[in-house]
Amino acid sequence: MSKLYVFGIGGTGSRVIKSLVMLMASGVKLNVDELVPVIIDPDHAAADLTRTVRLLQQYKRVRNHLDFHSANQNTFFHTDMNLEIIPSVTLPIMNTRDIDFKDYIGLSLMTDKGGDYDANYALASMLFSEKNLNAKMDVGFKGNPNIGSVVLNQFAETKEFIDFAASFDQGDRIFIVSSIFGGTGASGFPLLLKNIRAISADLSGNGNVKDAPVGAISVLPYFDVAPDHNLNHAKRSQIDSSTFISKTKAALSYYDRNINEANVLYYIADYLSKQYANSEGGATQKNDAHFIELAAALAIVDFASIPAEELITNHGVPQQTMYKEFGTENSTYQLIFNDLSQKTNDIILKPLTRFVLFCKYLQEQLSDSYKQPWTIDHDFDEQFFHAAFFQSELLAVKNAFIEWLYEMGNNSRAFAPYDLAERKSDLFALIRGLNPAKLLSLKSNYALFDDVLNDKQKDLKKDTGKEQRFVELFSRATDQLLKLKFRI
Amino acid sequence: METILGTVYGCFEFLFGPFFAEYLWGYNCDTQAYDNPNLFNSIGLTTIAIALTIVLLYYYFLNHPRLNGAGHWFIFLLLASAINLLVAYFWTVSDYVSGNIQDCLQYTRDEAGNILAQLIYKTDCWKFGMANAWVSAIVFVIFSFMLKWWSSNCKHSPTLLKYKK
Repeated sequence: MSKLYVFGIGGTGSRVIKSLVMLMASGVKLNVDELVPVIIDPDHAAADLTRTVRLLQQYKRVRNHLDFHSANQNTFFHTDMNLEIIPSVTLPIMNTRDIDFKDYIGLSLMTDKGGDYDANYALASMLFSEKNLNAKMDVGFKGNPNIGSVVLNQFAETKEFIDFAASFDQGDRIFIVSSIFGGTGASGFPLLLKNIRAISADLSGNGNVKDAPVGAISVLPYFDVAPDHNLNHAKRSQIDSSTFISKTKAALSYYDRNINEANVLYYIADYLSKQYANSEGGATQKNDAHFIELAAALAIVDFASIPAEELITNHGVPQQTMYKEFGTENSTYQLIFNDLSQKTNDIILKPLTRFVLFCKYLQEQLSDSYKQPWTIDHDFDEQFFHAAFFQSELLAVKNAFIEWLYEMGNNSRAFAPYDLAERKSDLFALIRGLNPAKLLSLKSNYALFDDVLNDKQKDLKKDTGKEQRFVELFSRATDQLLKLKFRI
Repeated sequence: METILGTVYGCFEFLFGPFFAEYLWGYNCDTQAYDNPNLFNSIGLTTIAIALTIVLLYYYFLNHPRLNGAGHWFIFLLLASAINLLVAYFWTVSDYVSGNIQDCLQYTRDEAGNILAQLIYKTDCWKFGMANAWVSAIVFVIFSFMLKWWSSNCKHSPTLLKYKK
């Protein structure tokens, strides 16, 4: 059972993990048996984090009902997720609630015997501005990696990190997702990498962790935040997107000199960016999903597919470091599948489209198809459609998936490969730039969908759970529909 | 075996009357025997063929997921019955109009040959058509329950099962 531990640091880390879960739900295959998500974010209330954790739990609950033995062809939710090693999904950052940074580092205690401030105080005052020292850390480090690099250094001592090391087996891999232009991600990535490669010999499993294949992606600026025009300077947001580029340059310069412990390093950026409302954190920090996050999630898929022979590490030092970037065929303001490379389309076009069809059927057609043979023959009855699996698990993932697509479609740069509006009379026109084939058949749109469902349901054995059969049936049917209508 | 279909139609004799039935059985006035063609068999086999064709059309050629309600099935039953009503009507009315129905079946005459009573009317052709429509419906139901099970989209049509939302 090979595992891939994905550490998502900060808000970008959470959002990239969310994109990865969407890809996994749609059936994009990760070349590992289990994904172990770990989020590092001191801002526990951040909406991006809570949305991702909720999605992870919903994915896992759906996945618990499914099995993937050889007779099954279902690819939806194929990769398993392990939420037992770190049940909370997050690595806790201790002693950051209701406390100023200056109290966290004990600035007031930096005195000599006579009570005068000592050299440590002078050094701290040099490294940290007055604003830094007075910063609250409940909502993260507000774009200040110099604060993050001090506070985050503690996570190697947490129970969760110890559990992570103890569960780590040979053959497992680690991937780290962080942004480079903020505070949490930019400081957390080098610290985490250091803690992995120089893991304490006292920890169980340290040898496997130390020499583990490690991949990482640094996400360069891809969004802006609006300037805060609050006249009260003290209350003005400390996050200023005009500093994103300079922070990125500084961090890249640091990485260039100091980050040589990863086996694979991915970089991604976009010169187009959308401006969000300025939020220092908490429940208002809720950025729309973005194509960059999807592309970053594809880096994780890519990393999982690299042969182990190319990721050899000895005594914490990789034999080589690979550097990779992501690109599109065309640079348009609204990306569709035709603008992506063939390699990207080979990975995402079919699974995403199949899952979109699945979701659209649940959303637009299911209630009109309760009397079809596929529902009657498998007892998909009132009880099934009102049970928790369907109502609060599968539909929850469906809603999150559709919302994710809408958000990417409305972002800048937009990724809008689908026309998601309800079009019952032209269902298969949903892929922009890809014309569906015309069939010599009296059945079209959802009638064709039901026809394929009714045909495929005959092959399903009734010795498995209804939940398994339901998802299996839609996996087979959507696969057949894509072959019929799009020859893919 | 040759009288099976006639026996079935006999259940509806109250519609078209005994003299029309004699004509259909193939009664020959000259020989006073049933040596004319048995139209019950000819029309009956045609009715069965048409009903079977429409059953196959419904369950296998169309086999449409939007036509698998009991109402849609009933429409196809009515279609088969309507076609068979017309087949029976035009089949018999052509004999009636062209005078192929023998005189002894059509009229009661006195010794001078005057008509005392008419035994078969043109409307009896319509009435036989209605009887044939009923036979068609019965055949349609039988074929439906024999053949529906292998239809992917219409296997539960007609059905007594109802899904409650």
